[in-house]
Amino acid sequence: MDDETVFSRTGMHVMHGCLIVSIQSELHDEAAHQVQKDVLSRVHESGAKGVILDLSTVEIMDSYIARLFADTSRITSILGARTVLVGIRPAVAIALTDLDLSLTDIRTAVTLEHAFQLLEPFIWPGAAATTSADNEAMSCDNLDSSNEDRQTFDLDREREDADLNDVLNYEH
Amino acid sequence: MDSMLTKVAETESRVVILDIEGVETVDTAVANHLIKITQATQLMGCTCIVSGISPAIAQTLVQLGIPLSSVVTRATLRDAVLYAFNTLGLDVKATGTTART
Repeated sequence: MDDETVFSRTGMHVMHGCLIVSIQSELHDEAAHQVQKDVLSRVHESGAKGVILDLSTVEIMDSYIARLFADTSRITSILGARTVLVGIRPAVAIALTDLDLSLTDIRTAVTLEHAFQLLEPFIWPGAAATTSADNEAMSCDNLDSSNEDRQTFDLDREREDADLNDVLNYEH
Repeated sequence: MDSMLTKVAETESRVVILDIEGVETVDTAVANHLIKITQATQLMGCTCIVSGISPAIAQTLVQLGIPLSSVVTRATLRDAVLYAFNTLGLDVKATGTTART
C-alpha cells in the first residue's frame, strides 16, 4: 500500500523505447529509494534503452539522494539503458557541487528535448549510424532517416493512440 | 554563480561561454569558485567553455591540482564560439547576397 502511494507520485512512461520518469513531489530518503527500485524494475520489464529522469520539481537534494540517482544511472547502464538527468535546478546544482560528489560520469540535459537528442543513438541505433556526426543530432530529419525506424516509430505512435482511445472510452 | 545558473535555466541554454580574458590573476579561492561554476553548469546539462585564460591563471589552476580534463578550455573567445557552434551544429556562412568590395 505504501509502495503504491510512493509510486503514484512518480509518473513513469515508456515512449519510443525510452523510460520517462517524472518526479512530482519532494523526495525524502525512502521515496527516493522507492523511485530507484521502481525505475530499475521498470527498465528490466520494458527493456528500455534509455531513461530520462526529470528532476525539475526537486528543489532540495541531499548527498544521499544525489548518490542514489547517480547509482541509478550507473546501474541502468549495466542493464543496458543510458540515463539522463533533466532539469536540475540551479540551487540543486550549486548544492551538489559544494558537496564535492563525483558526478562527472552522470549525463545531464537542460530540457527534455536535449535529453532525447542525447539518447537518440541508443534508442534508434539505425538512425545513429547515418548521423554519426554530433552536429546532425540537432536536426529532426534524422528521426525518419531510415524506413525501418519510421515503421517502428509509427507502430509506437499507433499503439499510443490506441491506448489513449482506450482511456478516453473508459472515462466516458 | 547563482545568476549565471538561473539564466541558464531561464533561457534553457545548451552552452555557456565564460570569458575571463580581462582577468589578470586569480587567487586560489576564485580559481576554485570558477571550477565550481563549470561543474554546476555541467550538472544542469549545459556545456561550459572557459576562454581567455591568462598564463598566470593557468598556473594557479595547475598549482591547485584541479583536474581540468572535464572542463573545456579555449584560448580565445573566437575559438570558444567556434566550439559552441560545433556543439550546437551551427555554422556561419556567407550568403553571397551582399556586394563584395
